[in-house]
Amino acid sequence: MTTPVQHPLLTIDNLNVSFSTPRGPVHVVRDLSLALAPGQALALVGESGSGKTVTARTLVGLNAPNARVTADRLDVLGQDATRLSERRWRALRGKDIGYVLQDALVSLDPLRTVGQEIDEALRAHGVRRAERQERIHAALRDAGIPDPEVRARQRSNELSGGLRQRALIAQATVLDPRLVIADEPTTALDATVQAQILDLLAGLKEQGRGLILISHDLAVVSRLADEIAVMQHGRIVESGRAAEVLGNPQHAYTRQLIDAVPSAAGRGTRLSSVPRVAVGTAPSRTSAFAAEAPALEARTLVKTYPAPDGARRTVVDHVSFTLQPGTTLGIVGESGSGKSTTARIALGLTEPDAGTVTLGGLSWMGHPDGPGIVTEAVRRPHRPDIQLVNQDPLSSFDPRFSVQRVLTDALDAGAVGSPHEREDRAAELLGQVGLPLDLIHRRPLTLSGGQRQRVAIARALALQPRVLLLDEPVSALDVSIQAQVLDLLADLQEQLHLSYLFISHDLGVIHHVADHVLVLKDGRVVESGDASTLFVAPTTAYTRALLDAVPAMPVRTSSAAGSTRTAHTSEGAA
Amino acid sequence: MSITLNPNSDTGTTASAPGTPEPPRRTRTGAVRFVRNTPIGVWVAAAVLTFLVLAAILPSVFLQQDPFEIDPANAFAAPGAGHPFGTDQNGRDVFSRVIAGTGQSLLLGLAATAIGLLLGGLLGITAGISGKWVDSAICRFVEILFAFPGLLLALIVIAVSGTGVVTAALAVGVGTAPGYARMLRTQTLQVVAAPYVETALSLGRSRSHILWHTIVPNVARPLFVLVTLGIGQAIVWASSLSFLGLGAQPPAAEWGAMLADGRNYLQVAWWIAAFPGIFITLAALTTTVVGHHLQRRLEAEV
Repeated sequence: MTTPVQHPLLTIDNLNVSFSTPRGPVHVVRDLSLALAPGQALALVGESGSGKTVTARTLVGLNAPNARVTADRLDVLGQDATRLSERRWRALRGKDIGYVLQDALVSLDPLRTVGQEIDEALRAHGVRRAERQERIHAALRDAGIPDPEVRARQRSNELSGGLRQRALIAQATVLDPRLVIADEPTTALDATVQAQILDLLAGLKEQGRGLILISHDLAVVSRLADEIAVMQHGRIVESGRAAEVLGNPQHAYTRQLIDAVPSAAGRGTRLSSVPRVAVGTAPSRTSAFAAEAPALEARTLVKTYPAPDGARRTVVDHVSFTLQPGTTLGIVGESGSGKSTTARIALGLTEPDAGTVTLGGLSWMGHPDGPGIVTEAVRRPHRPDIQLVNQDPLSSFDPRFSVQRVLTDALDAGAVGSPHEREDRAAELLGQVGLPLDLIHRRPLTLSGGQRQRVAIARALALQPRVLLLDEPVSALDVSIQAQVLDLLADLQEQLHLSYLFISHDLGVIHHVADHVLVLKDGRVVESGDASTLFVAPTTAYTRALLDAVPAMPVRTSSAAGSTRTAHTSEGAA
Repeated sequence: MSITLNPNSDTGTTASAPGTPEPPRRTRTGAVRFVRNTPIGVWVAAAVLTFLVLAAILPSVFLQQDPFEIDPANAFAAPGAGHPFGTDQNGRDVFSRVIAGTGQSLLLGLAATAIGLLLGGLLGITAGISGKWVDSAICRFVEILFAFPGLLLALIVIAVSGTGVVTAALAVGVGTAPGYARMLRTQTLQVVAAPYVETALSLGRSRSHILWHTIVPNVARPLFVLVTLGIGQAIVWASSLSFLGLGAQPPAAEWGAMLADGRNYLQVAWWIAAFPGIFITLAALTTTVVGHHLQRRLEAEV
């Protein structure tokens, strides 16, 4: 390490990356300039397809063979990266640059132990056998993994999401690299785990390493980044000190990303600039659903599953809640808290061991009064009243179906109109969720994540439900797309008087949408109450810990909203 | 470039934005891409298969002589002008007999595959949608069948119901059924667990509607490929039975029977056995090649 500390780790001038495809070159990164000093963290922020991952992969020489990289200057750790041979790249990778791959949950080889994974990096760089074991354990310990000797012998399926992400970070840092690149390191992790990982990355920075952090979520990077570069369509549209970019954003797209973070905006504010949808007059369906009764009410639900050791594990433990018509009840909890099982019981798909559910005053699940349970035959006519929108809409579409068929099939299930009328209604439904009509003959597989979720919402609306069960509906979406979908859901709720049971691990989202909140932990209700009071004055330590873990913007946009709005219009005119 | 994010950027209306590759346009370039993505070997296999199917449907187009006409004066004639594949011990034209046998061989293959699929489908899908007990009962039964080699299973059927073409088809069908049962059970389990089945349930569909309109069609989706792959195998098996004298009986023009017939004269007239053998191989090979290609295409699509 002869490089002086003040020497920059990265100097990039006018980087361009394009991919040659059968349909001609596709430019993914355009005229990108960056610099990074040791001990600094730079965040590349933008939505999917903005070129941030390609930029990161260029810095470790891992682009696809059809990539064309040009730059006026591309210095990585003092070497001209445009001229590096594959051999030289291999020497840099792992040793001087640690790369933490996207998708922590699937990036580890399921057939090898964590120790073997890390050992590979050490062997590739010729570390002596005697030293390797000790360094593996040290790296795991530094990454905050308890009992590294035990964990090193485990495979990825034996580790939780947070531990897997830590193992990946241990793998990337075991050779003590000067530069660490982390691609979406906290996506798909629970809020408290996310906070721990961010703290771990902050520790790396304090040790004097350079850190490049890639994310679609400004709130996540705001906690850690010294500099932020906002990318859109392959260009950096705004960059600068983190506090300045977040506190006084100059570019409209940056402001849009800041506004899209649901934790920063209160209930009732719009997160995106998408115009409101107008719901046409739909033919109203007759239903036994009592409008004045609670839309959905659960009483002391209990559900146990047999555990491998023969005992029974209680997944849902005396959970009760009431969803009032036209309101949103948010259910918060981390993985394994029982929220999905609760959702399945509410949806009438899983029979509870004890407890009842009523839907609009009707007995829906469990033993209503005395012996006997509500049978599927009794439930079936009322099924249209409650519909599900889940995290992965694609899996909920019959793979044979086009968008149109998805919608007409749902209408057919409710015996709505003639085939011709159903096609008209399908088109109407697409309009209701803000999708253009020309998508109607596409396969859901060819749509973007946000579009798929809109189709799923359209299908859920097809039979005019009273209750929508939204199970992590925006968790797989970029923040900016999430903002659009949340706005759409708010519009639909207002105009169709829908009741939402909204399940999420993301407190920011729940804060934005929910009137009432239920906090679940290990199958039990830890705390419940009005969103306004629960978020301001949580009574349990667990809820407080959850709230503390929510990545919050250092600068509240609400206070600066007035001034930024004027800046927005004047800039727009200029 | 406009600095404001298009409000509809999520809805695909700004597909021309830089950095966003255009979505593939199926309709315009579909045919061109299909031709380009299909290797030459598959084209050759498809051409041979087409010829075989044509010969099976319209043998008269290719027939030069009556395949059963005996001409002792012209026995054991080597392949040449009048007889491209030569003649057999009775002076019958081998080419005509091979062509005449195409129909029976392909039909046997198809019928056997259909029977195997039907039996296997019944077992596999029932196991996949039923509860624990029915499922494990069927699984054990299928495993018992698996303990016997397929051809042995076929021989059992023939031992019970005698020789003949229909029995041969049934026998090969029974022999292949365990394999299909296992594949279709796995496929059914996957489909049953798919969220779209639950979606259908929560839309208020009845269980029988879901079975026939959601589960069965989705289980059947990869069947087309399975069938093309299975036919090749079934043709070989059916020919084997005929070769053993358990399927089509002489003087029927069936490839396996002809092969058995010509075996005795292999040293004096190789062509009597060789050409039926080549056609068995061609039929099995081409259906398999085309089937594999279709499988890859379908998997790429899904």
